[in-house]
Amino acid sequence: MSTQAKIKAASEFLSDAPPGEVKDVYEDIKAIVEDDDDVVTGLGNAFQVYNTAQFTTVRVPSSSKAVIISKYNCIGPGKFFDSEIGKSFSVDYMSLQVSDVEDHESLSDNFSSIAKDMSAYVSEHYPDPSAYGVYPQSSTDDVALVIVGNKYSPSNFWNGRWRSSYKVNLSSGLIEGTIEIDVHYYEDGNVRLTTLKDIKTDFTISNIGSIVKSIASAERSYQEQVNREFGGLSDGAFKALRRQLPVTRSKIEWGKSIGTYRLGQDIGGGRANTK
Amino acid sequence: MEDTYDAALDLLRRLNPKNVSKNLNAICSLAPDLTEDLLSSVDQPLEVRRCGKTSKDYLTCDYNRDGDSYRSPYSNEYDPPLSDGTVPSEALRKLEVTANDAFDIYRDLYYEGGLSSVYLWEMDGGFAGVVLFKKVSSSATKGNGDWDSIHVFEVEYKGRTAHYKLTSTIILNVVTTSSALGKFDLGGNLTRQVEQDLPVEDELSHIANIGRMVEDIESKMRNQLQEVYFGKTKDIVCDLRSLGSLSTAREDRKLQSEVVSNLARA
Repeated sequence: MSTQAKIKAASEFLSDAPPGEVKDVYEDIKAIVEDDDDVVTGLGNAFQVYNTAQFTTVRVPSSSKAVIISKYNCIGPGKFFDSEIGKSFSVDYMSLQVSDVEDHESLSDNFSSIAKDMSAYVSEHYPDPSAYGVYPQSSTDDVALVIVGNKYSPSNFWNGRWRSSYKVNLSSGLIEGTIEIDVHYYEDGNVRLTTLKDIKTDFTISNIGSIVKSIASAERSYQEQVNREFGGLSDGAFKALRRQLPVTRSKIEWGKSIGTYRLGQDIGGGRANTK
Repeated sequence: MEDTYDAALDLLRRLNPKNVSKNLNAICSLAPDLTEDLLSSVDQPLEVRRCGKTSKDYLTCDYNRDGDSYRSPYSNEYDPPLSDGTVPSEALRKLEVTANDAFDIYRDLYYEGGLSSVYLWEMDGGFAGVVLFKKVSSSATKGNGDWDSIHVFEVEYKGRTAHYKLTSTIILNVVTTSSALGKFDLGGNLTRQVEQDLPVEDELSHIANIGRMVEDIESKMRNQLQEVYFGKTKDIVCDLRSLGSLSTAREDRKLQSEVVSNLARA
């Protein structure tokens, strides 16, 4: 296998790493390729893609805020900004070390008030460690809002992450974004939930405070929908795959009498062994 | 070598179970020395083949494979044909045919469709085998589902009883897509082991004994997947984002503990 192909395969493993387990996946990859330097250093790009997609947070000196790195606040290779703390900085994607901290334009009054609403909303609905970001985009009417909620419990064999990101346009009153959930539960097994929801909603243009309210409403609706889906699995998807018990409502009588089922089947018309 | 193998298993346990076959292939390309060991120890979703002789479908896995050929449980022949492919002895083949019939009934009662296949092979002091089930469902309202069961067992003769060892794996994936929900993709695999000594009257007793053990463990695992695993996954989503306000919840808890401690003092 060529080095390029190896890096591609290893990068795909990394991109599928569950929340909180990227280091474990990285160690596994290193062991499988027997510490092949070319492959290991070739993963640099995969770490960049992973961290920006997963809304990884870093700490900038002189601020206690957990700062997200994402495509919405990226201003150059490895360079990001956060207007709420008024700083820009460089990040090493593998070590997550922050450097080259410089001053950056702070939030306008409008965006500042959105940031206050976001801070209140996130602290009310996303337990620690969670984070949010308010990122002015190139046009003054556009702002990106990002939320990441994490829950890590590797000693109990589970980890989870909620990511929301929205593009808000102040002049059209439109909000467009996505919500993604990723949960991994691996105690004596391996269970993974991944979801993706497109959100399209709006807000009252004259009332900046209605932006976060609108987002809150959309997120609550979605979470209720997810809960309903879980509730319906038993009678829905699960039953369609394998019943809890046969129609007879009792377990099978094994032994010689297993033949009597077949007889009944032939008369009633059984379901054939088909795909 | 030990470390590489363990790392491969750990990686497969962390990555999305629905990609196990793709990931297994990639790992074997990265570390070809691991191929034989991984293919025989990692469970993958079952493939389907058509028996040339009977035109019926059967399931394939590592246990009915010889080289690049697979043995049909109906014709007992390999596809592509092999002049010297491994087949069970005449007596064991007879039992294999009966086992396939018995588990076909099981399949109909529990799966109401789908496919089943049973393969047996010789073992010193007994015999071994695997019971396979595969079910695919697709519905506009209930979403798409994939279920694979792999039950590998060993039977050790002990005169009037036999010692049964069963290792069962279920691989399950459910995908629902709708405008309200977006895409909801839930999958998992679970492996359990059980051992039991059971009485044996004749050859057919083995089928009844294994049948009961498979039924028990499969039902238990199905319930575990539904209640424990998917239930826990739902709880984790609730931990990620709280529907109600967190500060109200904290206040309620504080109030509750005050009431409880007041009661205790009273």
